[in-house]
Amino acid sequence: MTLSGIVLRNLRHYWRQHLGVIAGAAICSMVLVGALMVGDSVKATLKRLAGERIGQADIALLAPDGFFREALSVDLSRDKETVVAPLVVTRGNVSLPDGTRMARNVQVLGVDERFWKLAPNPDTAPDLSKDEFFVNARLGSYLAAKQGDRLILRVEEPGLFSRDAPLSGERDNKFVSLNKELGGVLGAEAFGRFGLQGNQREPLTIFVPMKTLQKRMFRSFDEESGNTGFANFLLLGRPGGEAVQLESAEAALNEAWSLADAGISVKELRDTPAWSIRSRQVFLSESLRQAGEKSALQTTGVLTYLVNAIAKGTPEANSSALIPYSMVSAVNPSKSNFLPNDLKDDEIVLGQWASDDLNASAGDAISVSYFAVGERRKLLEKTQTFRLRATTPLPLKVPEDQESDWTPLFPGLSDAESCGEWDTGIPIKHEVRTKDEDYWDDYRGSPKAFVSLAAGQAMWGNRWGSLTGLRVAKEDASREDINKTLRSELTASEAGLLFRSLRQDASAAAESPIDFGQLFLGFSFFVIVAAMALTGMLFAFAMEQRNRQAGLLLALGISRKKVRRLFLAEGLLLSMAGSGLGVWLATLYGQTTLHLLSGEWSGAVSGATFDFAINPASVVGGLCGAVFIALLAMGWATRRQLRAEPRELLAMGETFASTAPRSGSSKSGSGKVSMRIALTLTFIGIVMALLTDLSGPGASMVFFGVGWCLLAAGLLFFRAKLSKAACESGTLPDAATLSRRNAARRSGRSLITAGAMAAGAFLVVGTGAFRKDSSSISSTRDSGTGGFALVGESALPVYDDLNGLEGRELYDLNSTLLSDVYVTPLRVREGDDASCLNLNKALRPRLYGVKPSEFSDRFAFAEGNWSTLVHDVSEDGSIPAVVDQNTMLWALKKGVGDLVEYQDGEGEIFQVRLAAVAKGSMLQGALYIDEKHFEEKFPKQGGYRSFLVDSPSKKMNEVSGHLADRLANYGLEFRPASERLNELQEVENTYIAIFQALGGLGLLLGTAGLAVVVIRNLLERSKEFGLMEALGYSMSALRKHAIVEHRGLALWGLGVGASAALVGIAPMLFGEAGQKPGTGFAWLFAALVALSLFWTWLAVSLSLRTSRLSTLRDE
Amino acid sequence: MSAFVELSNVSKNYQSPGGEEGVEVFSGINLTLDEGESAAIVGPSGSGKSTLLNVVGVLDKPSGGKVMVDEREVTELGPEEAAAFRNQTVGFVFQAHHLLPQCTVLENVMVPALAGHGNLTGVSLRKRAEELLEEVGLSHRLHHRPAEISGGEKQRAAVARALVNEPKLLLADEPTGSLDKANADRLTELLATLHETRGLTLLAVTHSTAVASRMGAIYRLDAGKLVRD
Repeated sequence: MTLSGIVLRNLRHYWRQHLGVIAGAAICSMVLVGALMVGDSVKATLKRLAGERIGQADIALLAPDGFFREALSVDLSRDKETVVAPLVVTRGNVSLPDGTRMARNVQVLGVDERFWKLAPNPDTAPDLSKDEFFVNARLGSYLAAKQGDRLILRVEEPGLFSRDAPLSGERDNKFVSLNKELGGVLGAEAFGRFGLQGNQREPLTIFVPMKTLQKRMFRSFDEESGNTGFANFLLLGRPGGEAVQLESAEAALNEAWSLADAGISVKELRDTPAWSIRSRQVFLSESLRQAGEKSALQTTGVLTYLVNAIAKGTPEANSSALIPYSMVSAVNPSKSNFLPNDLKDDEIVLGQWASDDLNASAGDAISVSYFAVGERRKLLEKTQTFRLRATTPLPLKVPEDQESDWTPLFPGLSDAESCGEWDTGIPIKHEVRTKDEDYWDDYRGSPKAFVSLAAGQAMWGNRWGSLTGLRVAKEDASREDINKTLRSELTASEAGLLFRSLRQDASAAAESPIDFGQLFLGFSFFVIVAAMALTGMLFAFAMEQRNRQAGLLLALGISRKKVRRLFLAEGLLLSMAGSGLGVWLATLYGQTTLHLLSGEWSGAVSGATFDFAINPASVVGGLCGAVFIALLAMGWATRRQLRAEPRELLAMGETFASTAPRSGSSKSGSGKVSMRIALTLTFIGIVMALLTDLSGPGASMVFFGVGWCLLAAGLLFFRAKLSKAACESGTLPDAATLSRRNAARRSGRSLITAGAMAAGAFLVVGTGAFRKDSSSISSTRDSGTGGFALVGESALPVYDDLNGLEGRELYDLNSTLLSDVYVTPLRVREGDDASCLNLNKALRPRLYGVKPSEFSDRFAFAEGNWSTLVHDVSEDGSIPAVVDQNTMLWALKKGVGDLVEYQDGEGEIFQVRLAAVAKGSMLQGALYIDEKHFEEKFPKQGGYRSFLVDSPSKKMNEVSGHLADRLANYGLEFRPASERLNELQEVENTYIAIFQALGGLGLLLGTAGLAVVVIRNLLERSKEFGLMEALGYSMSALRKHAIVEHRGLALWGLGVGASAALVGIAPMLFGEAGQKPGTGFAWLFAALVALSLFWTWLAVSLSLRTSRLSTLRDE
Repeated sequence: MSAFVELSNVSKNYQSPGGEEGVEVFSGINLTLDEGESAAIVGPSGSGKSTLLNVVGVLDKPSGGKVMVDEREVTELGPEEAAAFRNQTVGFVFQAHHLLPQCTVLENVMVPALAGHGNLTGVSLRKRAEELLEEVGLSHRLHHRPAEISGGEKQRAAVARALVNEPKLLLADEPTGSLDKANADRLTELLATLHETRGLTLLAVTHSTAVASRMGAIYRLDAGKLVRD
């Protein structure tokens, strides 16, 4: 026989007593390992989804604000292994021909067979030869479409340049429709989940043969050559091989890209021996201007603009002599050979035709009227007065189908046969005369006047550029020289070609900002504590029954340390057995939790479904943790036992008795102190409650604090009561007093029992105070909706102000209906959804451009406000942003003043600073910056895609339907702002519900601990019961007394906890906001009471099942 | 006049855990005690003295035979009746005092009355308890806890507790077993006095010759048989 042999014998002999310990350890392990399994499953699922989203692609090249040559994909293919797949990525609406179903804001992918070479499973590539559409599973399900059904796709025909810009062509967007059969539905393996943004939700996607889409979308892109081979997205990957590295891809791009990819061309001028550097976007970007000017090329900038009128005299003179709609060019006089070198900025040179028409002579005042584009594409007519300095000869006639050397290709203008066909996007209010038509026929857009470049840029310079061309003399450079020079001066990103490391981003995004393992560990806190307490108590209980054994071993000379180790070795084996069992249970726990997350608790994960995954490291870690916790509990629970002397242990028998209290002991004093503190806390709580408006902001937090005060006070009252009972003496009016006295005997144990029940009940019920009820969402401006009634989003940008007369006429909006409606548009830069609805980590949150004045007084702020966007200018150049508090804290894990990095339209890095923080708002998921900053950083991006609507609630639905109907082509959809806020709050509410459910489970388990306490108390007092029996107490009377005594503990604890919790949720119960909690907490409380009573009854019944008289005989 | 305590052919066996063979503690026990009579049962350790006392006090049931106390067949009593019987008819004094540590001496004495079988409550109960404690010489210890008094005082308090419901039969199981000689003598004297003054029927199990000598009769229990000395 060895000591380890004793351990095994003990385990075998006392196996019944150990079953409870094993059960406790198993529960602890189940919860620990199960929570980690949930975390692993969420991670594995997000990783799988990320893999399905990007397939075998490693890198993406995109042109966020333009299009490049599809041939760039061929130029970038450096080896056979690397697949470079070009895509046309846009958004549109997809509907059934009968109009019964329409999906808005659908991701439209123009693809060819190369795309599917990078799919998760390339063998699943569909047959594109039939020129059919394919949809992903979500869109297929949404449309309820099956193979062979016809679908209508509607997309925007992209403009050459931003429709925000002046002279960008017709005001309304151009749409193209495609009507094709559905070839099939593509699953995840066939790239059905493809997307750039990390999100567990599958996007709505339609796949269109690229050539088909290009032919329709780019039919007007290159009218000279008729080329439609453009794309705005390239996917690079090496299926089955090593990942394509970003650096090597950048190097390849730097060699492969051409000026044509950036829409830059070098035109040979007809009338002058010079070249003109032009842009497809009409206005030269700032980087192109700088590249031209700082290069070795001798460039001359030109800015040509369409003016409304050139008139003789000042505007005040109201001259009837005016020339309508003419081109005016601005050039540097010193670099031209036909303008006076010293032409001043307030001087103008008229062409001979104009001079004759106006009958003007040198020195005359000449006024030039033109449209500038204001906010929301509002046309502002301005007039500038010049002094006529000189006249230039008539220009050379322009051959048919060609344009003047001075004038870029303005959409709707350059291709017009006559002035009557002009479609420049500006209202024609002056009469176009016959001689004007004649001039157009002969000279097209040849300028009728010239001003200095500085004067021209002051009038017509805008965010898209301040030049329409850069001239280079032929004698200074050849076309090749210019191409070469510009290519060396410009980077691909400046040309609008941006790389993104898809694999790296996908991997980073799959790291959820919320570690569900830790989250569920936190939620399971009560279960773990309850299991730990149960394990410790049961083990201590089992060990106390073996006091004599411990005493004997000590008496036999085995060291205290060794005996302790002996006992703990037994505990270790028990906890290992229990924890092992718990691992098996954990798989059930984890699967059940995931099942609930996909069902009952889906609000927390936005409807995601998860794969169950087991990570061996988590299992081992959780198992070790559970064993350690169980062992810790056992060690702590038995810490006092082996401190006793062998003699004492031998004499103790099966109980570890403590010294009985003496009358007049210090308990009386501590009871008075407890009472005083309790009264003080109650007073503080009442004062706090009285001073707080039940319906006011922050009421929940204050009342939760009040609840805590009352909870502490209640427990201190209980302590004082126990102290008083322990010290009282005199008459014994009834048996209840004896019960109270008994409870006071083990005041520590009684207080812990009642305290645990109280704290648990309070936390589980009280956290309901933070639940947010959808019916209580306020519509005030400082509420979470900001006072907006509707939120909307469109697939395509809307350029015009929907509040203005022109906008309402353009879209045929009902002015009567919208008379008291205001639509606030927001510019949108696509990015990751950083709201709590997205489980993925948001790397680059969506960016909104807002007009701060339209948001003043809206939403409640924890820091700063909307004016911060205007006034909080930082020296480091960072742009201030408004962010929702939840987004900042949980999704971005940042604080006020922290920076978030973005790339502007030309690939330049800039920082957005979290300067103002909104509380509990529907602004979650994005950053909001001043529209002016937005325009500076993304000048090429036009229009608005997000809308917030102020509308009387009674006609909210009508307004929503009307706007969506009139702007159906744009894929505009609205939903109530309260619904959006509720969707976000639902996440928070679900987390609270999970906490309450798991906390409640822990608490219910904790009530089992009550049974252990009861059994332990009763067994310790076996002799006492034996005596009582001998003195004539019946067993039923003794059981009744025992139940009364212990029921009191549980009910006091639950009563204190629930009362304090009810105060905590008073704002929900009685606040004007009417945030009524569900009945869940009441049911939970009822279950707690019932279970407490049940366990008490069961424990008493088991412990006092038979006569205790035998304990007297032992004497 | 019939006997107050009458045991006829009483036997007690303990079944072994396997149930195959029983251990006989005693058998064929006949004992008669008239009301107000006192007797001591002596014998070697393990002879079954305490078991016999417990059978008389309805703390244990005999395996056979008949036990009559105060003209009642106590072996036939159900649990509730037995409890009431013990409470109202019998007073126990054990070798260990078994005072409730959470109650004062006065309260301990009052405890039997709280079982609800008698009519003694409130002020009258307290008064009675105080009188009893005065009678056993503990009037100065009314509000002390058991932990605060000596062993002899505890045992005297236990005697007072045994008398609170004015039982007709006082059973004492080694009442002086855990006391020193001085305290044992004092307790023996107290029991004898109470027997005389209150006319109690007293049956004591003891090893003490001093205690036994103060009883009216002495019975020896040995080898399962009871014989009067």
